[in-house]
Amino acid sequence: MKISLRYNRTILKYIGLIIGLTVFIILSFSRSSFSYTSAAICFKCHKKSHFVGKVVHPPVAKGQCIICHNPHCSKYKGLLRDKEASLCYNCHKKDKILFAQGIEHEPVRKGQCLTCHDPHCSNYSNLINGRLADKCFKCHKKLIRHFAYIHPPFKKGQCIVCHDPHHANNSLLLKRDSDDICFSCHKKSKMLRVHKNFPTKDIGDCLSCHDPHGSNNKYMMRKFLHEPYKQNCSICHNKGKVTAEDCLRCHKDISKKLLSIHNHLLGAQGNGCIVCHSPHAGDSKALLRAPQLLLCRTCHEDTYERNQDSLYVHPNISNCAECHQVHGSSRLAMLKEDGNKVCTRCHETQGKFTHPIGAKARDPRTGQEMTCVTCHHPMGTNYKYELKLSGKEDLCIQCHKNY
Amino acid sequence: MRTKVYKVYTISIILLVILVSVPIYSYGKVTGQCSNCHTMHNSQNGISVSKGGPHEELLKDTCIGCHTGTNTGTNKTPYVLSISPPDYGVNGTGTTGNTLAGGNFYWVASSGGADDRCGHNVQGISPPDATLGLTPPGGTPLSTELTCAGTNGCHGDRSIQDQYKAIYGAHHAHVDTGWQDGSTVAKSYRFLLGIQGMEDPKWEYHPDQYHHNKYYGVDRTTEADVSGTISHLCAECHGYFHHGTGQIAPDIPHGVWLRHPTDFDMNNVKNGTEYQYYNGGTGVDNPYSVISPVATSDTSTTLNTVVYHQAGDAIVMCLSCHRAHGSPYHAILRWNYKAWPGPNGYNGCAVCHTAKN
Amino acid sequence: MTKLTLIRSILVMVILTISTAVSCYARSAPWHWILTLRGDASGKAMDMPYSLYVDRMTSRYYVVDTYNNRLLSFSKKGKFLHAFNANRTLKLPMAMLHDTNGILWVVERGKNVLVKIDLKNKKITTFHLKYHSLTLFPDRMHEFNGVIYLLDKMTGNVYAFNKQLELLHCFKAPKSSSGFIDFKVMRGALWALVMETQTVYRFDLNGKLRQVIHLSKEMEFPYSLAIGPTGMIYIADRHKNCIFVFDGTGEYRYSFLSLGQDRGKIYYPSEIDFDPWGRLCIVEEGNGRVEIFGR
Repeated sequence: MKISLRYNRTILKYIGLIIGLTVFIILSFSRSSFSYTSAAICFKCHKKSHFVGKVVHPPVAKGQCIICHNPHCSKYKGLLRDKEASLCYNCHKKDKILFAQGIEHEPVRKGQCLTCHDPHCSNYSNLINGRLADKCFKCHKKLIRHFAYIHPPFKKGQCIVCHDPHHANNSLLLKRDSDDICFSCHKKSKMLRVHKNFPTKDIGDCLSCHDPHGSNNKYMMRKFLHEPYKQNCSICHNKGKVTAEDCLRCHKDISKKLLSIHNHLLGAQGNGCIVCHSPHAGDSKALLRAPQLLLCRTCHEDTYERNQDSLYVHPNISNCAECHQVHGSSRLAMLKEDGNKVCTRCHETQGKFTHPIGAKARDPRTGQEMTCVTCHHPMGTNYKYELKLSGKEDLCIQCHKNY
Repeated sequence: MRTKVYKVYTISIILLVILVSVPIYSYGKVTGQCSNCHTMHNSQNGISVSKGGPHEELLKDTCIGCHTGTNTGTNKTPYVLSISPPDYGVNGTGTTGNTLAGGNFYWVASSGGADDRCGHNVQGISPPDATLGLTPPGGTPLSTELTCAGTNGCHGDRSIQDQYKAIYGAHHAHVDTGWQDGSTVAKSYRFLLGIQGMEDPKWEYHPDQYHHNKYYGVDRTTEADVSGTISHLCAECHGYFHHGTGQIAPDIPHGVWLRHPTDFDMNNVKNGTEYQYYNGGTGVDNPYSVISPVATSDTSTTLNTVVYHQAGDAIVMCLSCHRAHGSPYHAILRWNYKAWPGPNGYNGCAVCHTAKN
Repeated sequence: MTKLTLIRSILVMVILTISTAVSCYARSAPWHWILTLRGDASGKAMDMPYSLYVDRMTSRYYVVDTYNNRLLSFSKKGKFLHAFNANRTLKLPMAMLHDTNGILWVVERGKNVLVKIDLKNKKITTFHLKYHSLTLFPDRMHEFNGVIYLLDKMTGNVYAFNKQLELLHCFKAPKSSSGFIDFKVMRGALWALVMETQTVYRFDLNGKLRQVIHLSKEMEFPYSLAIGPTGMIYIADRHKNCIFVFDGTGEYRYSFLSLGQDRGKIYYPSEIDFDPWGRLCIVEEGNGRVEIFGR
């Protein structure tokens, strides 16, 4: 009995120790249990003048440096307690949920808040760490900035008049419907007057004709004009609503491509063509509404993210139409040709010496033809050569099981 | 009682851990990453991956390319060709150095000794024999230079011309333990289709009485060929040294020999002759000699560590005197008979011909 | 407490933990593979099969083997029965149904027609469908109570036709969307999926919108939907290669399956549907097969 009592007391001691240790650990990670150290200690070394500006981040103003920084050590640069975005979202919780909707601006998607924001202080609103336009053009280097006719907001670098720097439901990151944005400055009633010879009673889809940044054409008209638009509106606008059939009447080659297993007839109540193409004017001969990558990204955001986040990706994928038949294809993933020919057009060497592929080489798991894309995923993987699994062994033994 | 229970628990746990963690390791089947031997496209950064390639079966190298190196006793691939002179061991009998059962192609290779008489002239190792051309002694001419495998080779399926196809799948399917019954290439002794035997897991690196290959032989009473024996393999090219009609003296088996016996059991002539004292023994359970080995007709998995233990366990074979790949000596002999009785010579013949030492 | 008792207690806790983990796993993965419909038995593997039709009356599966221009039939147990290509006239069939009168209806993408095949009388009739003079591009097709429902890619709407192909109703996709990507007629309603907004629209069979269900979990590429016997919504994500399950209000419940070629894995699913026996059928374009899962 005595022995058993002693034994029980020992166990209770250990349990108590464990509980106490656990509480201590929890408390030590809980910042609320600490009283905030006055920033005076920090400012003994870090000059206070660096943390003063027109706009000061509230935690900085309150001297709450250790909300973000660990004063002793850290595995993150700047002695941060966590990754950039994780720290920000600790307070900006609602923004985290909001930004995840739709398409995220790349720095937001990558959690690189400090690309645009200064976490301490700034002379610009919203803690932007410099002139807004300078921030935008630092990444968007390829944007043409000099036009004969330039849109004033663009000239002034007021990008956020139209664009949401965090997220939007479209790949151009426009704050809302493009027409709404245009009409917020250019009153619709006035626009109706200046577009009085239009075949439709209403006006809209401003961006199908105008480049909102600028153009060398008068009225900021886009560079390439659709032939019927150039000649006479009534070529298309001759009876009620213009449908895809009207487009296909001229573009017969596209008509054939639509008779494929997968096509990009995108509904849109009968005129799916204008989802991607402007029927009036565009910046490319194909009259695409946006650069191809951005356009495809509108629906294929997941593929874009995969490409951005993977370790190994096929280079130069901005032209999706290089490999994919964008109008219609009867191949998997809407490839232009079968999974061998589409690759070996460029990768000739790999096409000549390769693991057996083609109709006589069948995947034992599915009976499907072996092709390049049986093993490779050009949109990106975390394995070298964009292989679906490690090419050292793991991939091989998916089929060669006995080895 | 409680102590016993704890002991049982402890022992069970230890056994379980051992069973789970210790891998069953066999040198026979190739192991390791596929990319060690194979390349899918033979191209990396615009440069070919395979040496002298491309090669069939998506291989990075040729047979000899992979089997070139220096044996250390721990290598997982047997090296049959060395770039630098191999160590043929004490007494020059190839048992204590770094050569394997087949010897080493070094001495016949263009990159090595370049002596036609010291090894088989194999494509990719040395040019055809300057004297013999494509005709193996005791046999009929080959259509091409000797290859490692295939119709003009030794390993693999010798009915298939292409040597890669001849050996297809064997490296992956092989298990080196147990008796190789010759039914498939993977189940044949050293991938020699149809040839039986048991393989030393270290390919006779430092062999001894208890660690060596077990060669298959058959005691013949006529000069007809037999299948499955290691001597039969040699005879596929060097036929007259093994079998034939009209090329021997009468009064078989007691007549005059025109060819040294092969596939012949010394048990038949042991009693009262010099052969009784094979390898220094007495005539019963003589120690097996790795200098002048013999074959056996016993197909069990018990290694023949002694000779003259049972009938059929002292069968003279081609490999009793010769090596298969190469040796420092002419006629690919296992020992330096020519220099004997000089200091550099060795009378391996005397392992059997005990009265002639 | 003795040491032996302590050891026994620890063992019991370990066992309980493992069984809890197993049951948790079991809860999140209630589906198990039952069988695979493959084309190999026909002498040729399937190539980009697009859809499946299950004939309740004959207990047969019909797989539309699109790239091979044929229809394959299988028994309920998965045994291959027959391959049909209408005398090699089929061109990229996309969907089919076998109505109660023994008539075969096939959507042919290659000619953009709906074909009516009278097997008994060996007669083929071709229809070019129009809606207000707009040529339709039929895609998916289902039948319910003698009415043929067709998804049209031109407008993105679903249309209901009688057997004489007279238009009965139009189920309109939201104007701002690119149209419906899939639909099913189930439980007295028509359920249609819009991909880009990840929303399911429920209509009554007269074409009136009754409910808009926003699916709570972000998916990559929702491509096909099925409505389970208890009203759960199953969505096949074509790029993520898994099935998401939501309740009737759109709340995410769980997901299962993953990318691969082995049994029980999927690759580019093109359609999912429940057969009359409560089994979930997944048509895999990438793997050229149909896999059937049960609980």
